[in-house]
Amino acid sequence: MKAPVIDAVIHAPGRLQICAILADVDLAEFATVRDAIGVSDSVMSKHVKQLEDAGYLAISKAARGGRQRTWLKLTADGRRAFKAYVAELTRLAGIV
Amino acid sequence: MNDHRSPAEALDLIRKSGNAVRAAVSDGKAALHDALIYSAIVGVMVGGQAFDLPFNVFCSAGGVVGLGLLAKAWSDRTGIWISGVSPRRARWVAIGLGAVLLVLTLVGLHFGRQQQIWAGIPVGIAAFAIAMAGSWLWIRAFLAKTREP
Repeated sequence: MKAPVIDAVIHAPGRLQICAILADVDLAEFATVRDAIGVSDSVMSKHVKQLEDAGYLAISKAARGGRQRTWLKLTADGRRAFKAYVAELTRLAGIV
Repeated sequence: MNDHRSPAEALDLIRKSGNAVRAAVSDGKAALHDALIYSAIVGVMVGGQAFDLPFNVFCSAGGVVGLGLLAKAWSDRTGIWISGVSPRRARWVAIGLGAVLLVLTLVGLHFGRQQQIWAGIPVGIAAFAIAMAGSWLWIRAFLAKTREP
């Protein structure tokens, strides 16, 4: 039986939720994702930084309506990694 | 799984995480409101092609601006941006809708060249109805795909 190959960057629940949300859209605002997963700004920033450092997430900023908005996007590498992670989970779920 | 989550629980977490996106896309009244405005703009853009210059150009240019403003308002409200061409099933709905609307646009142009300006109204109404149906189909395709982990 093949040993599980789990991406540690994606595996943490907060980062997994961020990736799951971003996988369904082209861009999502920082605050929207933070509220959806129910974490504080600092925890969210930490997760975002880790995903960005891994090359899985890209950040862009845009001023709209007089305020700065931060947009998050899964990179091509991030999408590939998340897809592989889900495929591995699905395989493991089939074994268990 | 080193944090004591089973694979099934992790897959469930992924599924639940998409709820915020699915709620934004399928938010009943707001989604209907957006679909009506989108379809009305499309109806004017397509039906307007039967009109003489410069009104057909105004319909096209005004429609592009209107669609841009609608997309921006939606994105500002929901905090997400979806281009419409992913996931794959929704992409095919978008391409199919675009193809049908393109054919109707050509029909509108044809009637315009024949000086049958009145034809712009039924062509516009048809485009409105097709855009409404396309919006509904796109949302169904998007929701179906994103419910899968």
